[in-house]
Amino acid sequence: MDDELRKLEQELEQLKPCGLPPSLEKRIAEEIDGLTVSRRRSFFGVTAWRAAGLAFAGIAVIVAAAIWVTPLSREEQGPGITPAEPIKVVKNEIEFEPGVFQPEMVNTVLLDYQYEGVVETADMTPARMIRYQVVDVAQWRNDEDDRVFRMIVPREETALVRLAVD
Amino acid sequence: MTWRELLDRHGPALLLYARQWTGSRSDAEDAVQDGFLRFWRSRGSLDPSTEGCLPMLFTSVKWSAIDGGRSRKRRLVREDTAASLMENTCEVFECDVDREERSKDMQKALGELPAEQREALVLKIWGGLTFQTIAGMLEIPMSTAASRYRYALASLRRKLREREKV
Repeated sequence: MDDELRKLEQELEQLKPCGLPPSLEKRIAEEIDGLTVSRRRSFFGVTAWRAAGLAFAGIAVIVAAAIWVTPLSREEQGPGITPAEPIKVVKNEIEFEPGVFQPEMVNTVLLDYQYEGVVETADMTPARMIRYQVVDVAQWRNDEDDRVFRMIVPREETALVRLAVD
Repeated sequence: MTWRELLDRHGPALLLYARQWTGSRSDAEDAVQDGFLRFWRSRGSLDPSTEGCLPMLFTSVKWSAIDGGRSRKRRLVREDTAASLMENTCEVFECDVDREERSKDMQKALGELPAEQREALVLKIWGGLTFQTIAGMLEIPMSTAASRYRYALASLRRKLREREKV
């Protein structure tokens, strides 16, 4: 770069961009103050969601055990085997009969995503960071009485998409 | 670093940067507000004082600024409008009474630059970012970032000379 361009560069540096108006700083301050509250709320919200997810997962494990571990029907049982007792889920006291709920559907639904900018990965290459909010839905159905057991687990996923470097 | 310190340090450059994609100063202020808050919410455990955070902050403001436009055509129209407004107003840089004419000429010349050259110039001179950081942020090779910057300076010099002749 020649001297004249350097001089121009210095001249440009002398130009000061206008500062932010106090009203904008005030608006941001209000948002950040509100943000502190909402972040706390969302923290509890996330915790509650996670707890709910874990609870559902726990129930699902019990149901899965009821479905897959116990024999499908009494006719198929060998002699001398005691029929399995219906499993009781303690918390909500729903009674699941073994062998009648069949897996029906598993799905993942994308609720929202946020582009979170460019970050540097561990090997110092740039990557786009994208945060996805998804809900996993799994459903079992009892064909005899059309009862449905549905498990919904919300979760967040962060993806790093490496940027092309020539 | 607190959000207020971060905003004090980079607010004017962010406003100038947002101005590249917005048709009015108030739109640029909204973009700074949205982009800054989005960055602040998603910064996680990142230290905002580190240079690695700056590309995320600038990118967040840029995305907020262009979020309004759904099509490339509208975006180009907005960039043209932004450029033409930069020509006519003293709302982008602080007015320097001693060098008012020169400052105005510079602002006009800046407004006439192609958007991508202007962006590189704004990020380098007023954003204080390195070519490497700019390249990562814009997903271009470092040599391209440096070229855009040099082309911008050369174009500015040519335009300023033309104005001096007139």
